[in-house]
Amino acid sequence: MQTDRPPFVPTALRISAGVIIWAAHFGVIYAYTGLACARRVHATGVTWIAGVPWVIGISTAIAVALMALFIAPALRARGTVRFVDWMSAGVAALALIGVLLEAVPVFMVPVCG
Amino acid sequence: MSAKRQVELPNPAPRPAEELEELRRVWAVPRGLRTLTVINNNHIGVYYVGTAFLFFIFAGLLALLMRTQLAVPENDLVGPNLYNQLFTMHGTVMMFLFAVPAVEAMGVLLLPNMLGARDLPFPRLSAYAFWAYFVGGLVFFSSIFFDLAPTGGWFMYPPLTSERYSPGINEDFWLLGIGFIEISAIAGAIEIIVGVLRTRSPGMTLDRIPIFAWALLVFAIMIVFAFPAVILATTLLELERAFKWPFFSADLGGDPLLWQHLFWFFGHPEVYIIFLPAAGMVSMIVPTMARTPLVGYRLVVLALVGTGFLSFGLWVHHMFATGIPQLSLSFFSAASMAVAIPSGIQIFAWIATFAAGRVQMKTPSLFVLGFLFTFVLGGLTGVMVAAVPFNWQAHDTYFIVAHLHYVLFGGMVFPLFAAFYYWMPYTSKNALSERVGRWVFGLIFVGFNVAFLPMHVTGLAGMPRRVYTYPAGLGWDTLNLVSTIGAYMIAAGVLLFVIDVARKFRMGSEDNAGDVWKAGTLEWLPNGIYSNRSIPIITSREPLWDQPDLAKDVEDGHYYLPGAPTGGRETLITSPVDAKPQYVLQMPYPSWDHFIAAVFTAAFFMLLTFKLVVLSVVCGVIAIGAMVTWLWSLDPGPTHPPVHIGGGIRLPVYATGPVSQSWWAMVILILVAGSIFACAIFSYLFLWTVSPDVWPSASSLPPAGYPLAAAALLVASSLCVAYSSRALARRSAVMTFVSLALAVPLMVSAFGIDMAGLFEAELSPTDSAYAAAVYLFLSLQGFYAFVVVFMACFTLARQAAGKLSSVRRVTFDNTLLFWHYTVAQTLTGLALVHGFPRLVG
Repeated sequence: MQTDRPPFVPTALRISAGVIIWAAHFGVIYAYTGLACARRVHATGVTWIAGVPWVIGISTAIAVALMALFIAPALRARGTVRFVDWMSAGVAALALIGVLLEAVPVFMVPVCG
Repeated sequence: MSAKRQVELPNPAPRPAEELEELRRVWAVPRGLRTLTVINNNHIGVYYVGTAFLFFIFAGLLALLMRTQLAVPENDLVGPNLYNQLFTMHGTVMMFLFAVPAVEAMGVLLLPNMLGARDLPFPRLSAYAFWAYFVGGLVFFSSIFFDLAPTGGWFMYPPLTSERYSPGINEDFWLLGIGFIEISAIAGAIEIIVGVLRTRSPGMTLDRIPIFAWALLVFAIMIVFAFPAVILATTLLELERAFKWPFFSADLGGDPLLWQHLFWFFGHPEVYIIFLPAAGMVSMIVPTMARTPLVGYRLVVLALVGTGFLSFGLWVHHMFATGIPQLSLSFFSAASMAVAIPSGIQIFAWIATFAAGRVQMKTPSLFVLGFLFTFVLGGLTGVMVAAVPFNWQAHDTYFIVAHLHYVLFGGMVFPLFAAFYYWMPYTSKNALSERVGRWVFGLIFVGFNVAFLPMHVTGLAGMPRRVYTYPAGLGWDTLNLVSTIGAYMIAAGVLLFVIDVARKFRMGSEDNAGDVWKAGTLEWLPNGIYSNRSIPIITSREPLWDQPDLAKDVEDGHYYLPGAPTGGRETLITSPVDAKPQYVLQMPYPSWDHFIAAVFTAAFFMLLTFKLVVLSVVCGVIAIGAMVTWLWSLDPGPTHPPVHIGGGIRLPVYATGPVSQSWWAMVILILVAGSIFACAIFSYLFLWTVSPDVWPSASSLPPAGYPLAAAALLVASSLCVAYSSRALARRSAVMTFVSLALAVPLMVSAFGIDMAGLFEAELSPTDSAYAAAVYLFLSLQGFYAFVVVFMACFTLARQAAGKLSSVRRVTFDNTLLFWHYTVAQTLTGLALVHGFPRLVG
């Protein structure tokens, strides 16, 4: 019997990597902001709200760096890019737009309003 | 079209004449009353599509009643109570009983042929999903004739739908009544995922999968992750209504917003769950009608995958008016803008394909153009309502009604009508009338825009949605009358379509009208009740265009598996990435088991609604009994030596472990279970965020010895099951039996100890939202313990009956996987319930 070559799970994860990173980024910034506005002041006296721009900034930087890892190979490739590589890069590029669009409002909108 | 390609035929010699007769015999459809037991996709698919369309008509009639009521101000045709039932049932039936089942039905009908398979891998599961939906759906719909239909709107917000404000069983009908459709949708999703990934023709690599199959794959994965949220939400609300567990009662630490979060985490992806398969249909129809391959295939696949994921980041854009922090709103606003990009990619790909080809301006093309016009308008108003300030103005007005209909009717109903016209010759002896089709399109398209375009203005003029009447002189009178005229035009178009179908549709699996459009994909190969005579090797995305003799060679049996080498129903299982043949799957025959299971599953949920608990339990037991009988007949083992399929390839007829289709189905089911559990964790943490005051101090928690003992027992049970697996591989029957049997009391004891701990802490689920959340986790633990104990007993019974061995172990593997998952989930639950309050307290 033929085995699964190339294996399915790594292939699927590679194609979806960009949006999985997007989902993690989205979850982190949404959860932290929600908690910050619900709790306002931490027991130690530090405001959660003050941390919001930092959390968004750092998580966005990490997400962008990780996405670049999946986009770069397709940009460097010569000739026709293999389907899986192309999809991996394309999905990551789309997710990158999502990450940036979601991060930008931190410069424009009050955190809790 | 690309260059012609030749393939070396696996079975070039003429085939024996009796081979085809045998195929016809083994795939024959039962007659008489046994027709109810049919499982062939080309029959179940037609019943499924027909039933979904029936619910479209039913829900449409409710809409007509509403529009008649609103035609003039201060109308007294329909009172407020009935009106509430009308709009609730219209939305619910359209979303749950028409839209999702309709696209799943199209998948069941088309996928096997489109992929070059004989059938989907679990045909009885498809049939079960259909019958549960058919019976449950009809009973659910009939509630409106007895003044029992739900009244809380299709999204059923508490506190309006709580026991206090909505006593009686109307809301229970919704909460329990759609249980069967959730089960049905998930069953269908498992079938579709395994079907697309494991039953493709050799050569159909990932970059040659038809776009409709890609779309259905994304759709099914979305169901796996989205439906669990509504399953949990309905469970919580029913628990609150029936047993007063205060998840949504603010006075006891609950929060109605929890419902909105859970509901819309399902509800927004639901829009794309409906739209993506419809877009997939359009991507199949457009290239055929333009006679040229789809422009930007890779981009369209990217758009489908991207939309599928991004749509999970939009749910709060239905909750902009609920007081959520502004920055949080902007995340969802941004994600709503981002999701417009992949939708735009698809629209440009379709326009470019039309522009690149020579378009046949037939009825399917007209409906596709109607879809493009309507959906783009709906998308644009979608971007408008994604902007928070505008959303606050338009919220709960007729502007939203207009927007959602442009998206859903435009994005799903127009493509579905295009699909009906396009694929009718695939399943019927006659195509539908072209002349009538143009009238149908004209009436529906014009009627739709007459009905819904003015609603934008009605909404901006301030008319709220869901009001049963309105006073004259507010500037809404003429607009409403025009909308009503448009609604009747749509109805006239649908009526004309029904008449044409009645005139022309004659089911014909062996003598269908065939490839009247000169299409390029595999569903248009000549086929019979057995699907394709032989399973082709394909070399491109449009094999019928690029492989000139394909149709004849397939029909002459020159490709793989031209007969029935095991003497039964079979299909070819291929590898998920490169579609290389792996094994021959022996498929089941028609039987009553799945039919009985489906009918009594629906009966279980419906009787529960009427609080007929004993009768409901009896039905549940009958349903489970039928499922056990059904499952008992599966896992046949290697009953036949490996068979030749052609081209020198000899394949086994049985597989176990990660390569088997059964393993895949179990893993997907575990993903569903994991999603439900993740939603439960979210609910717990959300309630803690909004009501930390009801969370206890560490001193009032059950002593740590209880959860630690329960955890130790759970781990021990998993070790027993793992040891049993090794013993089975070593052919040690006694140790297999003993260690699996030992795992059962360990699992039960773990549950008992955890429950004893909660009792000792004198915690009652009605005390507070915290207590209700804790008991939710205990209930989940109990439910999963019951399921895996049942599975273990079933496995032990099979071993006792001589149906389990080191090679025939699919049943055991399923139990093993689910057992380990249950232990992991329960341990996580214990850590949360007992560890989290200690951590934050």
